[in-house]
Amino acid sequence: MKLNVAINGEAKEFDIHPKDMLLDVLRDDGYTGVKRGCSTGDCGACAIILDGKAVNSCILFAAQAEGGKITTVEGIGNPKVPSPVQREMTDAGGIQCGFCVPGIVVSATALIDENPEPTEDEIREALDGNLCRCTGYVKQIEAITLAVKETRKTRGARLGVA
Amino acid sequence: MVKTYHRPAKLEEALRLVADENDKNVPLAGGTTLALNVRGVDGLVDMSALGLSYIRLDNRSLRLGAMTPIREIQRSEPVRQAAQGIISESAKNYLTALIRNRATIGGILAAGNFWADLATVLVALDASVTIRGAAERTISLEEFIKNGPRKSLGGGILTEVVIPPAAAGAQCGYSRLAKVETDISIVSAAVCLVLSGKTIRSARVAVGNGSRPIRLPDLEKSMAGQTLSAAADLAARKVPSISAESDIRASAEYRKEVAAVLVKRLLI
Ligand SMILES: Cc1cc2nc3c(=O)[nH]c(=O)nc-3n(C[C@H](O)[C@H](O)[C@H](O)COP(=O)(O)OP(=O)(O)OC[C@H]3O[C@@H](n4cnc5c(N)ncnc54)[C@H](O)[C@@H]3O)c2cc1C
Ligand code: FES
Ligand code: FES
Repeated sequence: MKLNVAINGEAKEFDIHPKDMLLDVLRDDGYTGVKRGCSTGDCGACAIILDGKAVNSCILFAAQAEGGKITTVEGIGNPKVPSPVQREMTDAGGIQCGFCVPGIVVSATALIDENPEPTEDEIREALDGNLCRCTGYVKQIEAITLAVKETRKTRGARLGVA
Repeated sequence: MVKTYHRPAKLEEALRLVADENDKNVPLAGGTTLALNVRGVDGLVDMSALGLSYIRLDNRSLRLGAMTPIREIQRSEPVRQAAQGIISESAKNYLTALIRNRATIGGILAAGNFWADLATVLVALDASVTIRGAAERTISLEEFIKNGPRKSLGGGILTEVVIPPAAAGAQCGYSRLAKVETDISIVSAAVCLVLSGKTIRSARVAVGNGSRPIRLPDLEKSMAGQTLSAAADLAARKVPSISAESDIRASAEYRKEVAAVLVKRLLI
């Protein structure tokens, strides 16, 4: 069957099987910023934004995304033009091995897009499905709090999203 | 092995596909369970185009479409306003935000995830579920849980969860104990009381024993006419007689004892 989606603002068509998971479709197409940690919905490394909501792509049938707008970490920013969340994650020491970071950036970005002034409780709630084995979360929550301040200045400047 | 994917636009079409005797088609909601296990399934019947994702306030009853994601329920203003916010709060304690954005109220009930605190709260609030098969039926959530999803659904589709308005002046509370916030609760408890001066006029009490909600009608009856502290003593005596099982999270004995503590603390 066909799958039509917009990924980071670009229209794409895929040939998929009904049992395919969106994570595999994305990684096979080169979106390797979407990580595979567990494949069972537990770790959040595979998070993407689908129609404004952060979701686990490893437990999402690709067919369920039909007609949807997908944002992966690649569409949020890159090393040359990092988003406020990405910049603050680096500056505030929210990254150690880095494996969880695309998922954390995705969850935090979906939150700030929806709610530009989240409280610390709201940040914790939005990140409760992103496991990090290295940092202990404190620096990451600090980084996202700083990014919220940063986005006050740069709101709307994100890459790839209409 | 999954071979086909359907996305019907009409409930009748979805029902026809699910009832098909040649193909084993199953309803697909959020997919968070089905994605992990599709053994024996031939076709997926995606229900996302059936218009079953909604939250409506109707004559003070809350109507939740079966396809409504848990996180939407958690964040909905009318849901927050209802029953002192305990529906919203218990929804928030369902697994993780990434899962709550996909998993649906219909999916968690149809999958038999009765350990969810949300189920405990919905039983305390006397919620009912509507099921469409050949005909439409509405049964209490308590009965749905007692008979189990397979028998209750009878091959039909759960379409709606209805939460009636709490009695006038009712005060509701909910509490849980879990190892960490995102873990499944060891026990949970929900209580709704109507007071008349210093005594209880009526009460509803439900306890989640780690596997499913249990209502305590005997305790509810005996609490009527009592003060809060007398009712707390009754709870301390009667709640430990609930059934409970031992598993990796806690022993049955621990669950029974702590359930009583949660109910007591909700009262005083
Ligand atoms: C990381 C993780 C941890 C989990 N931990 C646990 C756990 O410890 N214990 C546990 O029991 N579960 C656990 N789950 C399962 C979780 O509770 C379910 O994923 C979720 O409740 C299913 O909701 P859904 O909308 O995604 O349903 P789906 O996966 O779409 O459907 C689930 C089942 O219900 C049926 N169904 C769905 N909606 C309807 C409807 N409206 N009418 C009729 N039938 C319907 C489907 O056919 C299917 O059989 C876990 C899941 C994840 C991802
Ligand atoms: S890879 Fe999807 S949650 Fe871990
Ligand atoms: S930085 Fe290593 S898992 Fe988070």
